[in-house]
Amino acid sequence: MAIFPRKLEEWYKPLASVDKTWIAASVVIALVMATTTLAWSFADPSHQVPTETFEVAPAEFREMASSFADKYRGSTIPEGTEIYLAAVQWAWIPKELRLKAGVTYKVVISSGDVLHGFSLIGDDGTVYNLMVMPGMAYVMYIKFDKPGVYEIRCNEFCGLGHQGMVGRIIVEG
Amino acid sequence: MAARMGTEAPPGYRVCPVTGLLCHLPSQRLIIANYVMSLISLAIGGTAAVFVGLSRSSLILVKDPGQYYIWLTAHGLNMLIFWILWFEVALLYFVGTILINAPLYGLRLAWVAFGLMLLGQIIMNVLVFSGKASVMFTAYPPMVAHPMFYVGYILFVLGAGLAVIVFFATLYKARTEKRYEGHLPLATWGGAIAGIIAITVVVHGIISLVYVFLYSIGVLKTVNVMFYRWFFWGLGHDAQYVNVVAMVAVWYALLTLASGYVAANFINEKYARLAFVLYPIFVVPGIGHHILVDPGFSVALKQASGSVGSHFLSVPSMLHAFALLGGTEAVMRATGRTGLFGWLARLPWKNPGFSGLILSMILFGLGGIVAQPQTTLQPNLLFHNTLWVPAHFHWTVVGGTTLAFMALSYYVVPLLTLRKLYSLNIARLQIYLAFIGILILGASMAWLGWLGAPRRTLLLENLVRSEWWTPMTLLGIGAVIFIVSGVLYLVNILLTVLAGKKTTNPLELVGGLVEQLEVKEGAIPKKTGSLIIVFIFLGIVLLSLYFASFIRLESLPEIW
Ligand code: HEM
Ligand SMILES: [Cu+2]
Ligand SMILES: [Cu+2]
Repeated sequence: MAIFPRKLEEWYKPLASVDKTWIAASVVIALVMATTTLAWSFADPSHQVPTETFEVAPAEFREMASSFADKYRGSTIPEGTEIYLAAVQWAWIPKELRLKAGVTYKVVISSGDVLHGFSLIGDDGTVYNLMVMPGMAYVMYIKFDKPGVYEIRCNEFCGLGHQGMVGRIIVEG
Repeated sequence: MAARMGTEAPPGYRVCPVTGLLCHLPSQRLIIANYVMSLISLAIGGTAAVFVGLSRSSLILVKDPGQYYIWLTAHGLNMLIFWILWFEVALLYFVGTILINAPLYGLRLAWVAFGLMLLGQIIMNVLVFSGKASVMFTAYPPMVAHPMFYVGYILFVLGAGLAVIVFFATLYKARTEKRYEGHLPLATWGGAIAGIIAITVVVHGIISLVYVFLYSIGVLKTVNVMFYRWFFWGLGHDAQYVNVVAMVAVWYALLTLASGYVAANFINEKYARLAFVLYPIFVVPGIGHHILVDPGFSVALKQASGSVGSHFLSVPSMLHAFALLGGTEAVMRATGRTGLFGWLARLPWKNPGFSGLILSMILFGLGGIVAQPQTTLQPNLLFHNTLWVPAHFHWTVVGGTTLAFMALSYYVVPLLTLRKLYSLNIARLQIYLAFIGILILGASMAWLGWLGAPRRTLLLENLVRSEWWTPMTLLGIGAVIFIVSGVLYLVNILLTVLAGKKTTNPLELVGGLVEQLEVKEGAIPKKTGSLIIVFIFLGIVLLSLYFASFIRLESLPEIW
């Protein structure tokens, strides 16, 4: 009985075949999922968590992103340009990125102060989220097929102005 | 049943008129004290839930972000940390003393633990409500709160750790003094497993909290965010498994109590105990699912720990789901309620023990299903830090753990206070309202999460994307229903304690709570219906959602 002490011979009973069936089934379910994630790493290299990272001081990274923002304000970023995107309390630097459809860009993303979240949300149903960590940069490669507008929102609580951290990516044809 | 009925209680003890169990009065005082603190925490966290829930609904009740983040920090702390842990300490003391006929060993230490937890909680709440610690319960550096906030946190965690030590000392003492024959009851066994996991919680918790405390007072000049996040989630993640294991132990207790002990003969305890043992093996390897999209950790670690480890951590819960549902089915069939699903239709749905058990299992199952894509490296990209995450844990720790704890208290509170439950009908209603409320609350948050709505974010009108309004309205409806149910729970318990009829008559104490079940000669206690149900939900539905999330990933722009 679940609420009274029991002697060994009272509770140590052989498992029924339904019990064994379900043990096997649940292990198989877990194995299917475990195998899928491992296989996906090879099956679709272009929908993955970025693996390239490097250490960078937050203040330094903020500078890099600011000068990048100054250089490309209002203009379309040419192919082959390395993009710097910094999350700071409480804005994205730069606030807006104009990219070309069909082009693969290299985007370096990190924080200028505390922990932030990078959330890309598109009208086409796109949702893609990463952590943005001070001291550590992600290098991601990104390619949009079609023109469109995407929001960049912060989704890691980063202080009282957190909800207002909204940036944009405009993909041009 | 009433094994020790008629025997005189030794001084300092009483004999339970219903179960015949010996109850050590000073230990009982501690159980009650910890339980009262859990109720107070639930009331504070619930008040915060009004502001949190309605501000994330289309009503947007609180318009000031500073106020909102205070309420949210208070909500997370008082619910997830305080309500649940106080209740669990009470539960450990209960299964470690009354069920095995033993007094608490180290009463004074248990009161010290109580004092530490209380002091920690007061300090933290004062700082949170005065706006000096709006950092959420996760308190990620380099953002810092008032240093005393961490001191409070550390005190609370140390107190809880001390309580666990008292619990283990009690088990050890009871064993050496041969207070009980044979092996620990299943519920106590589950409690012990929860206790083992709780030790890992305390160790990780102290490391991360002392670290961030030293940073907050300037002793450490820099802070390693990765280090903190790993060890904080050692606390946060492992603590969720204390909750899961405690909840499963409560499920077994509920089934046993509500069926008037009849069900006990239809549960394979070897299977159940084995499933319990799997938890501590997989729990620490599962920590990695909290850092799946963090920079800095290797993909190998993320995949091994966050994904593979976590999928296997789900196995013991899947095993228990079948043990409990199958056990219920077997009892029902043995008492003449047959049919592939006929037994399910003819469950005593008015009994708060049975309804609490089954509804809490359904919600926990939903939480487990939506967790699978979320814990997987690549689909986590879709869900990380969206409202999908609170959807998951409101189904697990609110729908699962909280609802199970509430249902159990309808049984235990009358026995501890020797007062008749104030209103059985309110208890019945409360369980269903909670189910509906949490179902809607979780579904609306999952919907919002799927659409990318961020968690921990006050979405003022101009920040709401148009497709978010409908599920936000739904969220408000779910929140109101669940808050009403929470109030009914608190009021019913309060009225039981203050105004419930005093009695030692077993029929009054458990009337309507325990089903009169008669096992029929020759009935076959099959579990076929349950096997089909778990196969459909935990096999087909779960894997469908899992693969659907990969298909969705494929439709995204290319990002790697
Ligand atoms: C009474 C009804 C409840 C309502 C209406 C409710 C509503 C919510 C909502 C809407 C959020 C998300 C807020 C955001 O991310 O901006 C949230 C967060 C949370 N809730 Fe609840 N909840 C309730 C009960 C509970 C209970 C009983 C528990 C725990 C046992 C709980 C634990 C949490 C936690 C840990 C968070 C996360 C806080 C954070 O992100 O730091 N909630 N709740
Ligand atoms: Cu933010
Ligand atoms: Cu976890």
